[in-house]
Amino acid sequence: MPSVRQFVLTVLVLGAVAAAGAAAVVWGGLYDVAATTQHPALVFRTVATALDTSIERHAAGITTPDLSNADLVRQGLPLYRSNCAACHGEPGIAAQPIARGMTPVPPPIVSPARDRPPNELFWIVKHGIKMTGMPAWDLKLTDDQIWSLVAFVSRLPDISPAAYKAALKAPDPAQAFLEYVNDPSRQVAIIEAASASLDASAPSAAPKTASGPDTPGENQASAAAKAVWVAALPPLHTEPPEIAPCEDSMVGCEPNTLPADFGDADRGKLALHVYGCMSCHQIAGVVGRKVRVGPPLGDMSRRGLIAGILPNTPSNLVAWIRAPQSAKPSTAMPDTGVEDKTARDMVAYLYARAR
Amino acid sequence: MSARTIMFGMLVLAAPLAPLAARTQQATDAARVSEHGKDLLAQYGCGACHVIPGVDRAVGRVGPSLATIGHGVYIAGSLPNTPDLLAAWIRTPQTIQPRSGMPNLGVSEPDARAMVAYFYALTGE
Repeated sequence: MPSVRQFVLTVLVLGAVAAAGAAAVVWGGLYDVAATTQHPALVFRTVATALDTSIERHAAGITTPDLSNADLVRQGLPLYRSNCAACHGEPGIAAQPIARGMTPVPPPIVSPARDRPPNELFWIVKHGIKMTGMPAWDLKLTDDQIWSLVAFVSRLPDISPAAYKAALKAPDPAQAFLEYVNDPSRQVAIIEAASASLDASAPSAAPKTASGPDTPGENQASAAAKAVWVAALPPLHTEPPEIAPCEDSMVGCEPNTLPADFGDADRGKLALHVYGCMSCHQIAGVVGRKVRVGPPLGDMSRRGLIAGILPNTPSNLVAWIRAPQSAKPSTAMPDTGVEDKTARDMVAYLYARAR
Repeated sequence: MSARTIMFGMLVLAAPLAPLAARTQQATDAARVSEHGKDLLAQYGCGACHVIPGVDRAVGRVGPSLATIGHGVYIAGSLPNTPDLLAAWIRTPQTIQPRSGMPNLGVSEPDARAMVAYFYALTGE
């Protein structure tokens, strides 16, 4: 019969082994802190869960004031654009390049806006989050200013990227923003108009689109890619596509095959991580949160259409990744200035992983 | 104790259950609408282009899987995900986005609403 002494001894030995292991990781430099390598999925999930529960616990005592006040939203828009947009982006507008290689990647703002209650958003902005890029705004912004940010951010999922960009160009952006979120039917009209302007200009008048009114936040790098891409737009659908049951149709049933040497899948996987693609998409093999901003990218080789508008071929997917805003001005997917080779590598990975 | 007294007693005892019964009725109605939506998704052949859990033969891969559409931030990558806009999109995708591969199938407003109810009832994952 095992004695108490044996039990205590076993516990001590196991404890010593665990401590030695931990010491090896800490003092031996075993954990790879490079932002080019992903956390192991288990580590990521553990840390993310600890982060979520901590935020929930610490924000529990905060009482949310009435955020429906239009003036709060009005004050929040310029505050957001000057202090937050650089890292968290805006609907249809990418974060600055500095944010895209961060680990953890700053979430696209609509994600926490939808998933977290206002008291948690307030707490995060006020206190920041250790060991992430999120700074504390306490002492730099007043509580009232932070609440106005929260009021504005909470409404961001209610506006389409096209309407958001239209609002920014209006004489009074905050007022236009409020009008769009309060009347969703106007957002449909904006998308129709955006599509119509593209249809009118493509493909022959492509340069006009490429040099059209600047989208706020648009970068130079994508302008060149844009011109190439717009010129290469495929003919528009004039008829609804034939819809046939999957068994009888090859479209979207059989996996697309990739030409040999199309791209380097391993480099593509790194690129998807470094460009922060997993901040909006769930991607098999790329560690991230269960986000739902864009569709999961797990079945890309079998997908019939890209973004609902383009036949899914490797070259179309490359073009889409490089300049989505030119192909579909209403899309939430921002231009991120991905180079041609990098986009090809991403496609190689997405097609290889697709099951 | 007369039969009437017993009946009265039972009614008094059951009174607190009335709101519960109403809620159950509401839940049943919602389930019925969502179930109707599922049938409609099959009838309109949505599964030719989309994977839709619970709908027979809905294994198409032309468009995205709709398993988690209820949890998404955007519809068609372009519109805020609200019941109104999702119904509008289902009814007239090519009016909203002329280049969309998704056709206008002449879905009526109530039919679109029932489909939306089914999508939002899907738990995803």
